[in-house]
Amino acid sequence: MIRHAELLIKVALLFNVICTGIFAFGSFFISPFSAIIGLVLFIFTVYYAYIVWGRIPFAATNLVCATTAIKSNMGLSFPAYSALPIMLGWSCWWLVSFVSTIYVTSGCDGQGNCSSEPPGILVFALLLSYHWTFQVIKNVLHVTVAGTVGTWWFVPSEGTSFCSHGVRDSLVRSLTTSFGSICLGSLLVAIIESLKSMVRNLRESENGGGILLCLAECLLACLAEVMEVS
Amino acid sequence: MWAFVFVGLYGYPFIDAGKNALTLFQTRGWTTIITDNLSQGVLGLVSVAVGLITGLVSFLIAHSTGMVFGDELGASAAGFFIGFITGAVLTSTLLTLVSSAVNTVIVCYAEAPREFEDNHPKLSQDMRAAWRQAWPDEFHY
Repeated sequence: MIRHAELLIKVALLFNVICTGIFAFGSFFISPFSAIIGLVLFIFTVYYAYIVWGRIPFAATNLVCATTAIKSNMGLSFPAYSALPIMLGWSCWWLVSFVSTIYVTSGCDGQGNCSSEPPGILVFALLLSYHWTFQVIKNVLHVTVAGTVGTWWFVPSEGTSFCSHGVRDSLVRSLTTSFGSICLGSLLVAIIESLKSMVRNLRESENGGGILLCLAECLLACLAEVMEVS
Repeated sequence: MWAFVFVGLYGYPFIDAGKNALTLFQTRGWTTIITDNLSQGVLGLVSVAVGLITGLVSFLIAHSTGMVFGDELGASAAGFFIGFITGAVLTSTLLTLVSSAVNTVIVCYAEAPREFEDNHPKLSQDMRAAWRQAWPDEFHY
């Protein structure tokens, strides 16, 4: 990947264009409306590829730099791979709690017949806890990587071995001193994600809800994207 | 995501980190987002490619050792999917590290190009050439 970064980026970009092209071609056989959408998507992708073509060398150099930094600090793979079973464990645990809480508060019996709707605030709180923990785990990893790459950048002697000081100190920092900032940032994203899940649920349950809910979901999706990026 | 890079680099509180991230966007603009986007594309492609290879390998293994996953039509594809998912998940976990690192590198180079020149001269040369190509008129380092 380091030696052929620029080629890989071009391949990825062209692959994207080809995929949208195939999609556009296929959509011609479905309906004229989807054909228009497919064509617009294809034109947009081609235009995007044309605009960013000049930025490819810059992206390639950044990619090479980043991969070199990670390669010199492969100890980062430990937190990365341990995050997988942690997230899986959390998902299972949360699912059990969620289902049992809903069953109890809705007065459901063993056959799944519920006597009432679960209180909205409870569902929101449970969803929030899930998304928040998920985001915190993800962002702890992100901040650890950022700290390690920073160490590699400024003080390479401390950031160029498998389980270097950079990795360990960065991990400790992100779990102790910076943990508050990570939690705050994750909370903001988690609130929006939970609201999105609730709105989607409302839309599905009321047979297409109405345009207001649709707009709300779209708006929340955009907001979530913005928050993810910043 | 960009705010978290500042949190990781300098240990800023989240609000200050967010402000720094906004300043970064104002000065560097779309190139930051485009670079990020292109890198994500490559990393996604690599994950899928590795997944396909592992899927193929596991399919061949399952086929040659005579493992049977059921009598339905898609039974033989189960071996492929198990390999594909395993390969793709493991690779993408590793490549999320690279994705975070790309963001950090973009921020670091905008903030401290001189330390980079001192510590990693070869990479710094490549980076300078690439910057010059991306911003031919602005670059004066």
